[in-house]
Amino acid sequence: MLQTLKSYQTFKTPRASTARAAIGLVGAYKQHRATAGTSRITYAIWRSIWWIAVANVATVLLVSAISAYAQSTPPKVVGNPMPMYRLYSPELGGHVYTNRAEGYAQLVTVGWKPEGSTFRVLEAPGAIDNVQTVPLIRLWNPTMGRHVMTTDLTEANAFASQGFNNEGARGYVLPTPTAGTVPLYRMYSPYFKSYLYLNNERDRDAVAAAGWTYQKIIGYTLPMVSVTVPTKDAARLLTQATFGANALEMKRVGQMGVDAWVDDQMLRPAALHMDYIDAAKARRGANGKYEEEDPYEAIWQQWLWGNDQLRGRMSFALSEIMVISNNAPDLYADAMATYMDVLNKHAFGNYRELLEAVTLTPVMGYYLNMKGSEKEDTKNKKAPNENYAREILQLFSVGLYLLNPDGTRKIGNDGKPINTYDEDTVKGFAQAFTGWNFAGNDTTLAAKFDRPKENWVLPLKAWPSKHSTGTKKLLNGGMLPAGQTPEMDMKMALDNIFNHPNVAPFIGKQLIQRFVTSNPSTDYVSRVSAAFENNGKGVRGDLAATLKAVLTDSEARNVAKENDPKWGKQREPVIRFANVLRAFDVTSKNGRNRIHYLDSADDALGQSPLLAPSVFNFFSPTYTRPGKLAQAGIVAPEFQITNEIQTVGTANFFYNVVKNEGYGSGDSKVKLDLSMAKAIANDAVKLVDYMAGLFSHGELSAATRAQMLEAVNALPIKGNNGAGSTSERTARVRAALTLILLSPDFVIQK
Amino acid sequence: MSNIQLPRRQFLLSSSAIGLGGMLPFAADNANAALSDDYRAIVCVFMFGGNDANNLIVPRDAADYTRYAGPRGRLAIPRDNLLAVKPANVQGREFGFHPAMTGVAGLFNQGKAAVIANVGTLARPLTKAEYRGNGLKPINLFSHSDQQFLWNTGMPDNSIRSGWGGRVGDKVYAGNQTGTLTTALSVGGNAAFLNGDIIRPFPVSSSGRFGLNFYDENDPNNALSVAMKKMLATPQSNVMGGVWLEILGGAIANQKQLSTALAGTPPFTTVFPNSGIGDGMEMIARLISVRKTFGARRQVFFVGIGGFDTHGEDQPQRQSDLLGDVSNAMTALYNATSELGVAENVVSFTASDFSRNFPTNGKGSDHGWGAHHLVVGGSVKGNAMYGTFPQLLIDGPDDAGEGRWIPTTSVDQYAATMAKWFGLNGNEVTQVFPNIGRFATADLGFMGP
Repeated sequence: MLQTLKSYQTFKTPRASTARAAIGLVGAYKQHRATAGTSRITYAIWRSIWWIAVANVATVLLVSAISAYAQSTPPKVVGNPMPMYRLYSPELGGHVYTNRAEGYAQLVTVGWKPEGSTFRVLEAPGAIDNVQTVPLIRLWNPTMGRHVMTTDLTEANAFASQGFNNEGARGYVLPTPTAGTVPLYRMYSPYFKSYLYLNNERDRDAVAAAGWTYQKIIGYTLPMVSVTVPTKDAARLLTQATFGANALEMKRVGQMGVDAWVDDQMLRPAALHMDYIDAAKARRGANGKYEEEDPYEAIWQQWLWGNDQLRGRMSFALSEIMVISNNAPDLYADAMATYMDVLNKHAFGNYRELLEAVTLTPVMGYYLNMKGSEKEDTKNKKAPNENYAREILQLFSVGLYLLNPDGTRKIGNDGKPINTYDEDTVKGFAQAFTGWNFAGNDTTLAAKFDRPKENWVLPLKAWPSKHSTGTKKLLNGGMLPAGQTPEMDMKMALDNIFNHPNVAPFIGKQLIQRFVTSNPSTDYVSRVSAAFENNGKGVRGDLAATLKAVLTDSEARNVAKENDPKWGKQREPVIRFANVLRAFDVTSKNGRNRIHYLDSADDALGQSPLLAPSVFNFFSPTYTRPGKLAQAGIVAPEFQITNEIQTVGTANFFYNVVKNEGYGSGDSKVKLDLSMAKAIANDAVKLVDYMAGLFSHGELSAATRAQMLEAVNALPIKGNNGAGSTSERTARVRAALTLILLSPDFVIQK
Repeated sequence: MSNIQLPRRQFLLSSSAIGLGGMLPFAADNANAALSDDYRAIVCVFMFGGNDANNLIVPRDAADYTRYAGPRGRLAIPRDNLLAVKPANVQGREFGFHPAMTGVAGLFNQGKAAVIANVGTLARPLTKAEYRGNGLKPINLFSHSDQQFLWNTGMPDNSIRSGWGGRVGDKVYAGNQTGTLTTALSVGGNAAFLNGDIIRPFPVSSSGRFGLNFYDENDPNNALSVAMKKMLATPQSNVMGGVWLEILGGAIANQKQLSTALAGTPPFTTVFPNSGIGDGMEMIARLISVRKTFGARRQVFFVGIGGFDTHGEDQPQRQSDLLGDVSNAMTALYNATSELGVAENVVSFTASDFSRNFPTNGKGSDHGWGAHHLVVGGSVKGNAMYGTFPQLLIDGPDDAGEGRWIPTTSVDQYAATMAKWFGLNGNEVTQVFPNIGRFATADLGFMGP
């Protein structure tokens, strides 16, 4: 009991994340008052209550997780257990719980904030430890803006008579306890007229002490499984799957477990990049225009501040496989923003739909010349444009050589790799892709094809008169019949690509390389290929299942791999930059950024989103550097842009970020919050450990640690009566931060 | 330039030095004043994306021009706009350079530039029948990445990953005082062309920004520098971690040398184009100007320019901008080396993924194969065309299909000719270009002594 109390008190210690959440709530409250203006509670009282309530809510999640972890014997479950997600609406000041993916996504879209998950329900009626389930009914009171849940039909009817609408079951739970289940305590706050559901007595009592009323146990359900993810693995996962770990997100992974965290991330929708650039245009007044740099800012908004971090990483990874670039030729802002929206939308959808959506974006049509490509003209010796046909095959889907499911090349009888396709196949696809141009034109008029009205947002449309009419050779002996519509040829051509066995290892291995390691084992690639082939429900090409296989694979999660000399990957330079900014909870005065061109090698990063030198991206998945990498027999894609110019340019770039404590200038300067680092800078060990926690999963090689300590200790702390002046503390933070950002411990993600 | 050949003895020694992985003592030879002018440099100008060489040089005779203009459609350059030249070796046929290439056309007329016709990746000589049949073909024709790779490696039927510029460097680096550091220099990032079996390309920023802003390895009171110096010297168990420090540490050391050497270089009278390749060429000229500081006698340089993948309707304008840039940059390098008195010691040449196919796709042109290329320099036997200009006939004897010319001169021959001029002997040429014996000659004759 004493232990419980102590641990509870430690959670009540104010911490940055809780304080941030509270500030957010106060802001939301102000907004709420401004719009609703109905509250009778004074602001001061309201704030003091919320400080307590918020501290407790943060506590509750963590304590629940720990108690749930104590559960050791797995219960016998008939049915599909799934996480129950909790969301909070700052506007309404209440919580909602849902187990439905689409509902969750909708709620986030309209402003509900995801808060994670502490228990699971069954998807359909079933049984746990031989006890039959009952429906967990959710009701909604639109007047109050409140949800309530119960398993008691009589009570549900009573709520209904008070203005609650029965929304039906949100999963299934047990009416009586069994050894493998935990109770669901329903708590009610008379202040907020709001409900919470907790999993153990400790949380129940803690929240009750903060002014909530404990009402009843509404049922019994499953705890989250294997919820204590050690901090180190949580940090590793976040390095692989986000633009940078911070304390709040590490805690969330710890609470939810890897699987549930990934599921939760995948449900989170992206903010539209088009909305960002439209707002930028609107700020420029009635005659305002898009600027070429707006889409880059939209990307960095998502990377730095989006709560859809995994989606952001996936859309970036896809943008490095299905490349468009504003390097040359020039692309329009709305064309680029639309492209990112398409990648975000399909990031966890089906690869087949992604392939079609990408193919029909005006920007890809323009970048690789499918837009405006027309049927052959034998008299004038004109042929359909082959650019897109060639690159969709070589880079976006199947690659040049036949692959085994484990990603290795198949070898022919002559001992050589076997080509996936020949020139006639390229020609066939080029013909299949003819007749497409901008939407918003009369596609029956040939003249409109030659001079169409431009629309860089909507998918391309087909002109039947400009489409090749003959048969077209496809992959694997496929052949399109003559005389089909452009739409039918498009569909069948993409189906033909999609069904080629190369796609699973070709795309799967590259996703492993973008997220986890440059040189996965063949077994790892095989497992990811298998998930692409079949998501467990007989569906091919499910990118959510594929990426989940990438991130949850035993090889990805095996901390011992850190000791394998060939394991890991270089963190991409732009991701390293995002890591620094996110580690110190970067903010800007106007909530925006001005991060534009980072592709210069000698004074920036040699890499920048949507600015690759060509469709071959900044680096090839098969690149190896002559010397030690080639001798070790490993590839290291990111090292293709790592050279004597770029390493020095990047080092200077990071040093400047450290020195300026941010990037940019004016109201859109993104500023690092180094207050914590400076506060502990008088203690070298604490400072170095803090940096290690942020940048290398809490661990450093003995050498790097010693070097950092030596540098920090060499910088005196004398001023301010021995406590250290601001400039002394700052010098220490700069040295420690610069060193760790250039250390192999950070640069190489292990 | 009678004393330009390196003594035979030295090459034998350098070959054995390669085996030992060491560097030759240099002082004895260096004492010979005559050798201090013994300098040669090869500059690769890589046009990324596949330059449409069908418009780099165009036949101007009436019948020829008609055969050109028809299939080229909107891409055809009006006959009167071509910069007319009368090369040697072509039985009096008249040709014209792309109108943007005034600089190179001028050098051509002065005998300082030549055209090598229809060069491309070949594993062995290939007729159309062999191409259609089972003839040995380079892997993955028409693919950017692969054909760039083969142009750089010169090994179309082999998995060797080193570049021929680097392998040429392997044969000569021992004659350079600073050995591997200044033998192969790239102002175009990581250049596969310059990866030898021994030497590595040393990338140099064309902007001239060198060194870390915050690092002084000699200041014992700079806590950050002291710690960083130790970090750079720390062995790493993770291979990538080690390579990261190796590159960063090497960069810091080498850039210090470079910035010191370049600090006092006087400006050129020659004006370089204000562009990426212009900056790159200027940096190459500056590096050549300080060759003696490094004791460099043989250097291979690499500079790249992107944007040649002109499938779309912007091809005419885009190619005009790009070829103008290439021409101006190569001309400026020639003029700057004239200022330095080493125009005869430097040759620059063009390379590209491939040419583009002859008929237009309606807007631009698609991936091709054999291409016409340029060599510029005081030792070039200029005002001439080498190799065989293809018959501009779709489905004709030179057409692999869709107007993609089957090369009649291989990259190996093109390269070996320059390697011989550089000072490699016959054995060394064969070591660098193992397939060279499959072709009629290892010396196309476009380089003087």
